[in-house]
Amino acid sequence: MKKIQLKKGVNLVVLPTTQFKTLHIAVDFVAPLQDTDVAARSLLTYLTAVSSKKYPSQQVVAQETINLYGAQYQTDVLRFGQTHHVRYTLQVPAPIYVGQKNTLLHDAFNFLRDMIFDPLVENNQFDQVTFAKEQQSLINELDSLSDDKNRYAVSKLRELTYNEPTMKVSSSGRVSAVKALTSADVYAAYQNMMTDDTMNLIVFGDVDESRIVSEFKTWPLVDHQEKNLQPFYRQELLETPHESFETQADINQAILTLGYRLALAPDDPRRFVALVMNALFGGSPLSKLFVNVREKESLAYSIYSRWQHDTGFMIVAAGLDVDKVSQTKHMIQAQITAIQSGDFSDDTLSAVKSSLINDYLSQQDSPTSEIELAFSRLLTHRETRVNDWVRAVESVTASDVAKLAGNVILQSQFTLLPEA
Amino acid sequence: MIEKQYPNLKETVLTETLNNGLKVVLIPKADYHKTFAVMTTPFGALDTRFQMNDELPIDIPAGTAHFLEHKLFEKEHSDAFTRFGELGADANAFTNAYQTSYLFSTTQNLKQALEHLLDFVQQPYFSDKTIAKEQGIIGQEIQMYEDDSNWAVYMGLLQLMYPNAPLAEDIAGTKASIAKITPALLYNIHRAFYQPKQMTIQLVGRFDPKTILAIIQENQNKKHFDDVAVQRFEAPITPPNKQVAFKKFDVSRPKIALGIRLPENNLTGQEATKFMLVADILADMLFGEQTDWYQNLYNKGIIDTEFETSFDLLRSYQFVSFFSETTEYDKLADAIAQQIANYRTVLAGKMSDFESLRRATLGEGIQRLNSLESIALRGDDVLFGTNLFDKIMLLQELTYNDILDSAEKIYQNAQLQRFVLQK
Repeated sequence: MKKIQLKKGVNLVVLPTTQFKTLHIAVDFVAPLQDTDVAARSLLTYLTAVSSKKYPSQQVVAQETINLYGAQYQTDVLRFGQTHHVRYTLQVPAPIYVGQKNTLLHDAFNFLRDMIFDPLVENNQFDQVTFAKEQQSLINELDSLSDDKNRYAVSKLRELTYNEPTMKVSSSGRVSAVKALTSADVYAAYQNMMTDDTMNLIVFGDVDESRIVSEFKTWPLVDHQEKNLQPFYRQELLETPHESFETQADINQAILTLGYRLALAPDDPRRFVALVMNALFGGSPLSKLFVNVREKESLAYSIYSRWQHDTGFMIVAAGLDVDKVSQTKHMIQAQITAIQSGDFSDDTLSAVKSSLINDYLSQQDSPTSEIELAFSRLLTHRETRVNDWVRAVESVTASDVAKLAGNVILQSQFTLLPEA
Repeated sequence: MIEKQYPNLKETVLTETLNNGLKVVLIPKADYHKTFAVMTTPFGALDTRFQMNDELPIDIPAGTAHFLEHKLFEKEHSDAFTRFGELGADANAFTNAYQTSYLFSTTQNLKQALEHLLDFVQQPYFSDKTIAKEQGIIGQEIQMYEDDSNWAVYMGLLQLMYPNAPLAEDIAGTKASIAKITPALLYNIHRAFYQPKQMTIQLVGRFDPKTILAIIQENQNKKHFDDVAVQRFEAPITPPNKQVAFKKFDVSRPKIALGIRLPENNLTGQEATKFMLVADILADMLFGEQTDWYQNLYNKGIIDTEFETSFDLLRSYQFVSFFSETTEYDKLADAIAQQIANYRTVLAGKMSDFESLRRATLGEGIQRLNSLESIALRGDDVLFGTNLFDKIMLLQELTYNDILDSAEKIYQNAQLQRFVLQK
């Protein structure tokens, strides 16, 4: 992957391909995760999604995306371990398919530039009317996220698992913090982002590099303060797991969530073993959790595990009947013990590996995945070639998996229960 | 194989119907890494009664199509799903109102996975024991849907518009309805709706078409199927008996669904697809984000970006729906009614708005072609025999007059029904 430094702290990667019928421009502002500014950064993505000086209302923005042949303009906040990302993406149909070979690319760059760099600001604050509206929208969104019970339970588990206060926050911030923000606060956060964040740019599609570099010349890019970002989070072992539960009316099923520590150094080659182990444990339909807990014992309707290399934790979430919570928890733990003692067949191990490889190779058919991969390479300074990745997974052995499972230790449990 | 080219889209579709009636559709994409395959029968939750040859008619309890889909994976000594996993393929299946589909995608072992798909779909094994177990699992699944507020508001609206009709039943059925399912029923349905002449197998992605066709032909030549004449009986659609309903539910803000039930549909083929495309653009012209109407409500905080409109045309059913989360649902309902009452004024002289929306819809269609799954599943292949490429090409033909005509059909004398979920 070739990285072009446009300015200090501003990196560009151009990925030319004719495989797809779209053109993508993606911009990532990266900063160390800080409890104090997550809410403001989150709100600024709402403001810049619907307004700028040139396109001052959601209506005008929507009209312009229609003019850009049904462009998809999106702003997001994300996190990777201890870094927080404000991301802008613009997707348009590949110009050649709509007979706009020459103008659409240029128009797309101009639109995105105006939305990012020329916000609807006066007297050092965002337009008050837009601000009030979008603040309310974000509050509503955060409130309704808690309607998704699985997601809610996992967010409670996160609060319970991490010691570090910043790690407890969701990427979109807390309702109370969003309510406390003023328009000037958010503009200050925007200005910090514009000067301090690392800025990564990716252009993906049927494009050539020199044309793209010249398009970016029309953007007001300046030197950014170069920071030493520490994306990976690792936490010391707790002596006793943190446990808690909550009851809610109007739900039928209980949700059990568990947090396990599996802290490998970022460059530890055992990350491939961890991937395989997670897939064998609960990360695939061939896994022990799915086959034994869900299918054989019918203890849970839904159950999965997810390994998060960025935080050094593996989590489990299960939807189940309330009277089966304790039996299920024991059975989940028993699956880890079984893996430790090598109680899985070679066939299953090889099937799990094939399935991981299939997923990995399939990502090459999705622009979103390819862009995500490129951003992650820029962030972690780690670039594994496709063939090396496949080979690394293929060479994971049963004893590697059993040994690594010995490092998986329960740290937290949160249960959401229906009211009796 | 019959070859159809779409030069503007740089796509080619190859079609062949085998001697036993199985339809094969191949869309090669040489620069992709994976292949997506899907085998479909036009049998779904709307099918409630059928007859084979001159045998007695058979009633189908609610939830049976979905139940059969689950059960088809389970064999006497093995599990079809696990076998895909062993091959490194990613398998799934789904049932909707009018189809049941079995699918996989893979970057490896394509031949084995394809043979396995054909075999497990065409060789059923149903027993009392496996059925009893499934009744438990699906019971849980039904309950899980009931906890989902978006699902609850959608089903609430359908029940209001189409009381007692199969469309308003949960696709998974109820505990009581699936308790009536027997192995004999599932075998009968399989004999009727899973015989080759009812089914289509479609592949999109990286493969050599001749090799794939040969694999399928060889596999089919080894099998024998009864040729069965099948007649379906559509359940009658009865008129709605109320306009408004509420349900108590634990949601942070009320969720509202509004619907306009239209007369029974009699369009088929490209006509039907075209009408759906026109209806979508029409809804955008009246209620889209770029309209003054939307902006006015958005600025007053009555709607947010979650507001959605949709037009559905499936078999005889035809309806418009609106979904939103809002505390001010009376105001929203009034505003929608008002906009509908004014549709002629709103649309008058909006030719250039239509033209840019048509182009945007075309651009969106082209963007969708990145996904092999979309190419295989987002067309109206099952309902109207038009694939996604046909659909995109049809967009080139639409005119402003089509919009005006369909507005008369959809919004003249429209009756709005309303369903609300709230604490």
